[in-house]
Amino acid sequence: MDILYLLIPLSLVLLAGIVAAFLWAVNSGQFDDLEGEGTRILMDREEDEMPPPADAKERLR
Amino acid sequence: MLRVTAGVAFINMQREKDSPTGNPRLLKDDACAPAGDTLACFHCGRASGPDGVIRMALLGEERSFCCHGCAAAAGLIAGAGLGDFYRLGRGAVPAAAGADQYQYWRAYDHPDMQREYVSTSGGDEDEIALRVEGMTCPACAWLIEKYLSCLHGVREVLVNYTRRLARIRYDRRAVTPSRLLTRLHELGYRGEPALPGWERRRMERERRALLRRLGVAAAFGMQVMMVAWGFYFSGGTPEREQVRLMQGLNLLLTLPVVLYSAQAFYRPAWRSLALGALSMDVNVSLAIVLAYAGSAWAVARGAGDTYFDSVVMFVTLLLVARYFDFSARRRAALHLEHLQERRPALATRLTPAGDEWRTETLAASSLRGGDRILVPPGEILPVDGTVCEGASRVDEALLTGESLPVAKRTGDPVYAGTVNREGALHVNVTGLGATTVLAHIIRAAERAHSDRPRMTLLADRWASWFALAVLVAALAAGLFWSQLPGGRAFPVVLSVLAVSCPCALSLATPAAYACAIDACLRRGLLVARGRALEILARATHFIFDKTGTLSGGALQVVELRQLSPLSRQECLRLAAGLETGSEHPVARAILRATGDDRRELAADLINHPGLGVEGTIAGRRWFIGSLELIRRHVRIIPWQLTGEIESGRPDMAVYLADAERVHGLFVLREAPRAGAAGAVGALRRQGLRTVMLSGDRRPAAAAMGAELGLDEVHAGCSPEGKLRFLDRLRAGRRAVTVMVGDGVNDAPVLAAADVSIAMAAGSALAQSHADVVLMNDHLEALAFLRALAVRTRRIIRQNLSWAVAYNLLALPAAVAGWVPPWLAALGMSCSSMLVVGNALRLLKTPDAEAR
Repeated sequence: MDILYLLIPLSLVLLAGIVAAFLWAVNSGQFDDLEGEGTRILMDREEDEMPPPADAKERLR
Repeated sequence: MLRVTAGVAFINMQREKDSPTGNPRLLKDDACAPAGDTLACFHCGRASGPDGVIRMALLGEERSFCCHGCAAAAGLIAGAGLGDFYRLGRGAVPAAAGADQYQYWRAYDHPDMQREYVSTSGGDEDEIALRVEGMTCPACAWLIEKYLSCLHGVREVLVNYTRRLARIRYDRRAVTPSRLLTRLHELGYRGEPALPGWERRRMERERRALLRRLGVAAAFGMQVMMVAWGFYFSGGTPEREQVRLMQGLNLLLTLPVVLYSAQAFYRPAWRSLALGALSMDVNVSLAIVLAYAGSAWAVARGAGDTYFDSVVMFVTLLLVARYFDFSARRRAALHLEHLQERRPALATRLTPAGDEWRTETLAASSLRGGDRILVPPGEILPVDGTVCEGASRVDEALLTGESLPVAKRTGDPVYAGTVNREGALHVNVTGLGATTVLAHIIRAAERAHSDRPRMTLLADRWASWFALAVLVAALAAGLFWSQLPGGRAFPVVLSVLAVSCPCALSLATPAAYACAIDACLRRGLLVARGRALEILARATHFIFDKTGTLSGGALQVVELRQLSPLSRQECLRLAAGLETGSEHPVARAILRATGDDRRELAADLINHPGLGVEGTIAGRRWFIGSLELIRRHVRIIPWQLTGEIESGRPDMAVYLADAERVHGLFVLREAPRAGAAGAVGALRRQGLRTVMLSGDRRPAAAAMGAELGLDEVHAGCSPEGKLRFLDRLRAGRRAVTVMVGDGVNDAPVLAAADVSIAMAAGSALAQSHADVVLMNDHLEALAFLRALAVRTRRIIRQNLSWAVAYNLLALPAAVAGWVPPWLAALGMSCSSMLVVGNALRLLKTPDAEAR
């Protein structure tokens, strides 16, 4: 069972990575618009190719 | 805390003695203040500032303050007889600021600024929404309401604590916005007029915080569960050292969940405790902290059970339920924000320059009434106005729910927030900022969301009592089990605390209403008072006004009688030739009856206002119009015609004649609105009695009633008669009445009914005080509304029954010790999710149900 002493720290490192990635995603607005982004591909306006997330909605109007 | 408690007794003693208007004495006493004095300010709780300590006799005792601002604020509070504020354990009050701010507020009194956020609700009354910063607890909301209401000229103050929004109605002659802001400032709160967008930003912040807590709880929870799974299902006996390692690991992994994620429960719990009330958050927080502390102790001791897995599961699942609830309310709020953002900030003004128009781009807020603006196709209208040049189709879906664009010509009204689809329009500005129809809709919808139905209030009160009962039960069960051998007292207390679920009461009922109101808005139904939905579900009678409600003012040709050898086709052709180009309802009806037949247009048309038209077709002079017109111009009048009108037939008669004789008689009747019959039918199928009250003559009303299939028709009613009818219905048969009228003419009757629904095309909307407004004039929406109200009630009842049944079963079981803590946590969280999920179904109410 000595392997636990390796596996547990390993899992903690993984956990830290997961939490950090999640917090980054939330803070950078990845979860802000869960419905609108899916339909963006259907809008064929050229100016919309690379819209910054903050004003994407403004332009789609 | 001590300071506040000491203050309680003392304020209570002193309240009678202090005269409410007595001005506190202000003393500045630097000499007396000991060097390095760190006395906390009585008002804001901070240590004294550079001014030294200010001492003031207040509420019968000498108090210390950090600055003059705070001393003045406390003096104001005490002087207004609101000393209770210091008793209602508030959080730290923001320190009051100096007088240099006042000049800044003055800017908000400027008429240009006012137009943006002050709305006039008639007479001298204005309404303003202020965003208040620095409110830390409901006691602050209480203080602001009480204090501002005392001001001369302020009629009503409503503070929404969760939205940090104060809505104030006041007399324009006595109060200015700057005065309100200054007063707020004196209390130590910072106010700003609420402008679009801020609420969405606040909700976005809140949502992210909730999501972060949820994510952290879920991630750590998985690790904890993994270990727990090993214990539960490994079989065999694990080594002692291994157990210690794993428990230690779980202790560590649960810590972030308890310290960070569960803050979502600690804060509201603390707030409600500070207010002296109990909420379910108190029980939840207690269960979390107790379970963690108990488990930590067991680990330290090296003996006893641990409940880390129960704690993380409890927190995670409850957060999921909260998140659902929050998204439901957010959706509703976002819809409002979306409406608000529909007004573009810029407009193109046209000014005459010789033969041409000079264009100039400027801020929409600096437009004036009467300005002429250009709206190119594809743009959103920034203002309300009338079209003065150009023709186009305008998408009004946002205002009315009508999906097809509406044709607009010169003279037609257009509204801010709608989209110009086809051609460029020149628009004459009539409404700006807060006076637009859009702004009115937003305000009404906001009011509906803050107007809490009786059911919610009741549920809140029950939830509070329930939380207390659970605490008592937990204590009693703990005492009982501690007398028995086996050391099971602790897990039983945990189970009792965790298993009880008042969520259906405190959480799911408001969520259900928010969803229902939002669903209505999407279909062009503006629910202005949330209470209306509750009453609609109990409604027994739907009462309609005739003209303007069941009929849209249009006429239809129901009969054509030939009075000469002239053929039917010929009559129609001639009539159409005379009426082409006229906008009169009679002309429209005749043109509709003719269809697309070829017609010879009349020449030398002469319009006799109120009587009819004459013109030349194929060299002969023709007349079409009322009997009066015919009498004047036609030589032979058949004797039977003279009686035709006086006999009180239901219909309107229009004659076609040449100079010699009368050739045809068109019988016209008021046409019901499209969908009126369908709406009446659907309501009747829902078991409602449909009644028509009309001021018209009996036969006209009866004909319409028969056509639509109404249950009762009452004709010849004066407004007083309509009121009497309502009273009789309610007194005799205990009827719950819903009145549907056109909003403006029927105001008194609408006000008297239990629920008032107004048809509102355009500007009538702004004048209407109805509970519900049909923004697109589609009567079918009534059946949907009623079905939705019934469905809302059903879902709330389901939730309440579930809550009662679940708690009646689970609570005694937990007290009896049959429910281990992990099962209690699971049961409670699933119950929460069930009720919230059930409420969310309202968002997806299908149209089919209404039919």
